[in-house]
Amino acid sequence: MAVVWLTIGQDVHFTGGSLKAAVNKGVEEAYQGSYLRNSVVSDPVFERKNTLTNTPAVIYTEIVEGDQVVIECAAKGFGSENCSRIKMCKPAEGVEGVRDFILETVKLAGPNACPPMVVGVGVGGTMDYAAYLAKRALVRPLDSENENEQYRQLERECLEQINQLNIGPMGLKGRTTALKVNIEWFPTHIAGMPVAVNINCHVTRHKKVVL
Amino acid sequence: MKKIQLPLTMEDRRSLRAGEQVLLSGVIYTARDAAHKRMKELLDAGAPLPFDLKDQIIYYVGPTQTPPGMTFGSAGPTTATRMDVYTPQLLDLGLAGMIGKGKRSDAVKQAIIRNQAVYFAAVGGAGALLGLRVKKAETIAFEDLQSEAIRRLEVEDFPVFVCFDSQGNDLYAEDFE
Repeated sequence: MAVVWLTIGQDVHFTGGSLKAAVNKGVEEAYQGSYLRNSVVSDPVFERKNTLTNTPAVIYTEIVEGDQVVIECAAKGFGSENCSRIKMCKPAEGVEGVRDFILETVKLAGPNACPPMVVGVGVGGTMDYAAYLAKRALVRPLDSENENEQYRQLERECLEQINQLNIGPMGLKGRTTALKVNIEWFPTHIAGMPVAVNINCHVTRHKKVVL
Repeated sequence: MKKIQLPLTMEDRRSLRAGEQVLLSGVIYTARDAAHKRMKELLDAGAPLPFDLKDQIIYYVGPTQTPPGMTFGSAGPTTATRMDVYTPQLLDLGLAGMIGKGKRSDAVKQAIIRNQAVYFAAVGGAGALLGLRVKKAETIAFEDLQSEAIRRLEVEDFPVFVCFDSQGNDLYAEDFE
């Protein structure tokens, strides 16, 4: 399913039609023009009829300062999406709680998520925002480093421990179970510590353009 | 690498072992989530299935659209686990094997042993390459399901490995050597 983030400078003004419609038209043209698979059904529970356009996309917009528009797109596969989990950890669980939940999620995913996987983690905010951050973490480049020293350390530790799980490429054992753990974080409530883990397969298709 | 001509005979099914790499040639059928649901509905209604399951293989795949000038699109395996609820019944009706990726339930494993069947895995993410091994493709049922329709594929040297064999050996088991 196409996930599109639009980071829009507040000095930008769109003219000539609906922004949402334009994004969906772009998704449709990309999928039809490149003979990609139409993977979206109209209704999740009842009808489940293929929309034949791979739309609608999941679209997020964020308004920031400036006059640029940044478009990021991920073509998210669902074998790995289905292995994703969220837990409302208690503050007392601390960093161990976060680490354990990430490892447990990867272990449960095992061969199902087409390892070596990319692990996106969102910590903090609210339940929904942690999940959003986990998806954002998946489009951060694999060679990027977390700007925060403690989270950078946690990313490294988690990756190291994941690669000792002996799941390996396609679940055939070995040292390479994940390529990267990316963690995004946000302040949260005094009573909580939401942790969301969004898994991606080794392909991790995504692209970013700046207008 | 072992080459096998389909349909998958009982002799082949009994001889294959978890971990073995195999090249399959012959006919396989595609079916994933929605097609399995439809097949279950047909069976519940006492109606015949779109193809005879005996000695056949189902490939869990939803191919891309076929680009002009090509025989078939990208066709990588999807996670087999979602089909677990339907699989034991199909195995009991004569299905010889499945191609997918990922873990299977205990009920599926027992049905594989009971029916001397085989669960193969193909390499996920290598769909474009796997699609090139399809030499002929024809939609035979549920065309409205688009990518999820049942297709009859003729494949040549289609690369898979044995994940769970008729003797109960499991490639994904932690103690598998």
